[in-house]
Amino acid sequence: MINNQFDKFFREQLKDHSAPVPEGLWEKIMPKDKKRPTAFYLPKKIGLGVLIASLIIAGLYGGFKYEQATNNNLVNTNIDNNSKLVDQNIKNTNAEGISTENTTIISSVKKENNFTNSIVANSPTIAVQKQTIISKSSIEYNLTNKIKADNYSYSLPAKGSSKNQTKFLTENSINNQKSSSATTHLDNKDEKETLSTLPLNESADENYTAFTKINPSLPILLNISETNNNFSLVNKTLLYNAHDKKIQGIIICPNIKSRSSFNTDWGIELYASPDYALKYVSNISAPQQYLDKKDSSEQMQISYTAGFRLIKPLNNNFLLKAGFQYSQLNQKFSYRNENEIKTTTVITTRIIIRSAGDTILVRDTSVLQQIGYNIKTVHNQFRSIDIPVTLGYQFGNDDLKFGINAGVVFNLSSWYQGEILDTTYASVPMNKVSNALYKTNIGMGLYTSISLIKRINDNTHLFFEPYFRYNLSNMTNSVSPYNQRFHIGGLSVGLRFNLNR
Amino acid sequence: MLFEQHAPKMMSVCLRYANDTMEAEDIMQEGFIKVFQYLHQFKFEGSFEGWMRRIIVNTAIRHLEKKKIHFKDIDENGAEAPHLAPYAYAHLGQEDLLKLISQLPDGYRMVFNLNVIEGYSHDEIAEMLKIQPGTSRSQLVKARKMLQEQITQLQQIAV
Repeated sequence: MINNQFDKFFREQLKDHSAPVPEGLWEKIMPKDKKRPTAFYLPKKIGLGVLIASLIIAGLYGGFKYEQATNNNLVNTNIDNNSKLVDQNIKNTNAEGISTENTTIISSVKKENNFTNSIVANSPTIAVQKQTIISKSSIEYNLTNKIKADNYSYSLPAKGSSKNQTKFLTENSINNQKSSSATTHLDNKDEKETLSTLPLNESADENYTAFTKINPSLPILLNISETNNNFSLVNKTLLYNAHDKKIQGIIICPNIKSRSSFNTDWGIELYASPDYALKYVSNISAPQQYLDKKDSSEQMQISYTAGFRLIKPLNNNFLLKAGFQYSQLNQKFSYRNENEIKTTTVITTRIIIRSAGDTILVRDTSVLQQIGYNIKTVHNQFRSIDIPVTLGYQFGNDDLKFGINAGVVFNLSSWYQGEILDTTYASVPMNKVSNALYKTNIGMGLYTSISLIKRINDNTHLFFEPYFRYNLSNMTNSVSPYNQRFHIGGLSVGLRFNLNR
Repeated sequence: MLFEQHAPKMMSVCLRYANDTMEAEDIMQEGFIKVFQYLHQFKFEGSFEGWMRRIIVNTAIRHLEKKKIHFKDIDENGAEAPHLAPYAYAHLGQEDLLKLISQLPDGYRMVFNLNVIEGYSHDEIAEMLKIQPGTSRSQLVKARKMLQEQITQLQQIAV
């Protein structure tokens, strides 16, 4: 007895005693447990995700550059050819039947495109004027000429056309004609190039130098000399808004973007999505029976995501998006609690009238116990706050666009709330604070989606975006006897607003 | 952080088994490496601290085994403890008790810690230390006697 007291005293005093930990002890342990290089380090799985994301972004960027290079191909040709075009003679052909509609105008506006045209107007041989065109904007029109005639000249007849109408040849395809001053009339429509008329357009930008100023009353034949022996496509590029308001009668190519609803400036997307999560569980050290029981007790339900994304268009097709979103995965947790004891207390009250005439109140108390099972249902929630960063490629017309997107989702915070089954098959409550099993940050995930974008008005688009999110990391931490992660699929529905309108 | 949360208690465990602070540090370091190494095997059966404590205790036993501890059997009948009254040791603090335990011979200290503090039975201790259960009992009796003698000496010095 005395020994028991003695032992008990020691046990109570020392069982939970804490001693100061010597400094530097963790440093001795850490290198063996968490040895990390001192240089740039990424965890294995996150590093893999970054690598995959980098490859996706690099691929999309490569596609973007390739497309850009393709679009600039003609522009580059223009630079070479236009540099050779000096003192082009423009003769008055007075060509009958060549109407405004017959005039071929091919424009390809490029940056800093300087070339010289000589225009002879109002007479078969008219003085030559040198004009310099400086263009600034990006590609506007690329129309391909199909020229079959041997000799080509481009006629911009003002005769018979509306007043003050002025036109430019912006891109010519010239046959292999060695004659330096050959003049060709476009008599046959069929043999002529694709014809189009470019309406006038005003531009407020006064930094651009106007190019050719022509007396609208004069018919004009533009005769192009060619110094190149090979058949070449000569692109004369005029910027669509390269004119000066001070110069009257100037020809302006239409601004193709002016009719587009797409704004190359910033935009914002507000969206919400019904989701469904696919649960993936792998065993580490848990009994298989436990995993089976756990799996049968948990059932994923419809979840949701909501958020916003800022959009920065890189060009007409590529979009960079980054935003902020909240996700909640819902899970129904049902388990059967065996040997549930239900206790009922029954109180019976009786009044007994004795022969003497008095009454006695008698209360009998009995306890009724029922043993059975109880099915408990709890709705678990796995919540997360993320930053999605995606790169998208979209195509289509103004009213309807399609797109594909790929990127990464960085998790800021995540937490599990509800109840789970532990290895003793008991229900254990989980919440944001007392959570020893699940991580508070699940790292990075890969995101891919396709989108359908319908224009509502100039500033607003409605979009539908089925997506899939693949999480690279487990949501369980290292003490868990199993690994668990969610992969999420959903359909984002939202509105896209153009900013800076 | 796992280490910061549990290290003070585990350090106390190490100090109880070790002869000195340096040895306690070695046990602590070795024990925590094992904890991190086998962390994934924790099955939520019981508390995490208890699981960690078992690893540390086992590490301490394996560490002290290398010192070739000899458990000498004694005649239980011939070893009568002074039977101290509770008031005789009630004033002792945790540090005093740790100091008293650290002055025990290795074998006594280990059995006393395992039985009295950790709560292992003599059969379990016998299996862990690869000794006879009777040896464990006798070591405990002698450990207890030595502690009580030390406490009595302390009282005499105080008087």
